[in-house]
Amino acid sequence: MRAAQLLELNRAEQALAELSRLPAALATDVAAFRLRAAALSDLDRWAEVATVARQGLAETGPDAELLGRLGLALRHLDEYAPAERALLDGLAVEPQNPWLLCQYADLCSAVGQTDKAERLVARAAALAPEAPPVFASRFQLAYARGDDRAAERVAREFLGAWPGHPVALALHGAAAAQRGRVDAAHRSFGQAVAHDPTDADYADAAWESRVYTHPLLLPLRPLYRLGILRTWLIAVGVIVLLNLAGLDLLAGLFGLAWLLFCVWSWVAPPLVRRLVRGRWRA
Amino acid sequence: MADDLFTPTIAPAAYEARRPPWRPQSLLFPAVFGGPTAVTVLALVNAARLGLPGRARLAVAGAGIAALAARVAVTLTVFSGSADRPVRLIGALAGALVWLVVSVTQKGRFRAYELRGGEPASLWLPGIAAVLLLGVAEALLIVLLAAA
Repeated sequence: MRAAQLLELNRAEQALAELSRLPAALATDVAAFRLRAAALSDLDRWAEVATVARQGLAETGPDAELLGRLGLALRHLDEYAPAERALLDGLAVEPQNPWLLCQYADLCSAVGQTDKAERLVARAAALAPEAPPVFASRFQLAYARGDDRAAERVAREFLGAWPGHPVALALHGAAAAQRGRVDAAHRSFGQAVAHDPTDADYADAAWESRVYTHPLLLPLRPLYRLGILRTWLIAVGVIVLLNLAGLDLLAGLFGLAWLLFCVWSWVAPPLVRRLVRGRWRA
Repeated sequence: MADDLFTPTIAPAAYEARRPPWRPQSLLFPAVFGGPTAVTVLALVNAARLGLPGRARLAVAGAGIAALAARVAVTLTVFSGSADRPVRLIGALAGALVWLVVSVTQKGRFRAYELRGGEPASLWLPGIAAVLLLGVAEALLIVLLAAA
């Protein structure tokens, strides 16, 4: 079907247009409902995804993929208990579907049930270790646990298995940004946009990462790499040591430099954001 | 297939909309500038907004009280002889220690909130208010105890 190819090429709008021109006999086929729900998910139109999925389920009977789409849409609409119901109904049809297991794992990560999410991801990984949704779910789980190193490792594995996959690139960028590697983050988000120019989230992330690669923010890079606490401890440690060594003038100068650095770290990012993006808030 | 993985565990009422929480990492600023009392109070408010269980709140409250006591004790005893006591520095370190407990207990829940598409609230005004009010109150307490 042409719509499936268009969706493959990230032309979700055109795929929807193609689907709307289908003859009535084909339009109520389960494949048409699946494609329509997939295209609407690509466009983040979650309320419509839920409507289409429910319509498809009513007309064609239980279908694992449509139940998964319904669960995904309901998660984005903040209806977590109904989303779980839909995903469990889908898993009752196809208990060995890795994509559905990953959807359920993502839902569990998002409500903080990380142990259950881990078991679900492990099961999905046993079925399809190299599938993109499995990598994405492992990343989300590591992020939800606050384990940024593990998230970065998953993103690297994902990129190794699927070089050029926009989701892999975007996750790699997000992990790099979280760890303070601003150049790597900017490169990855830029490539993600190049591979999927229609996705608004990637474009936004690429712009935001460009803010942090600006030369005016060059002095702040150690702060982003080390984190606030470690940078602060190092600075205070140096000041105290200089004082103890009797180098009061040097300690005073270093203290002044540290004060300027702090002020710069608060003032500069909003200023540069305005320079780069032309507005104050991201 | 009987499988406990496929039994529902998400209660409908558990994730209703609350006031948006602050980013736990940002609480380091009131911790360093205001001391243990400021960060403890803000972190307890944040714990309520994140819907954390009682254990996590007790840990933060306990760490806050312990850090305040340690700050007072260290300031008054260890540095009792010297004229220029590093009162500010000890307060900042005590606050940073409380923040470590806050970060451990609140980071995961905040990450889940982010994954649900939530945005953090701005800490600017509450943070400055906490530093000015609670930080100054704490400093006064130490000055009074030192004079006594």
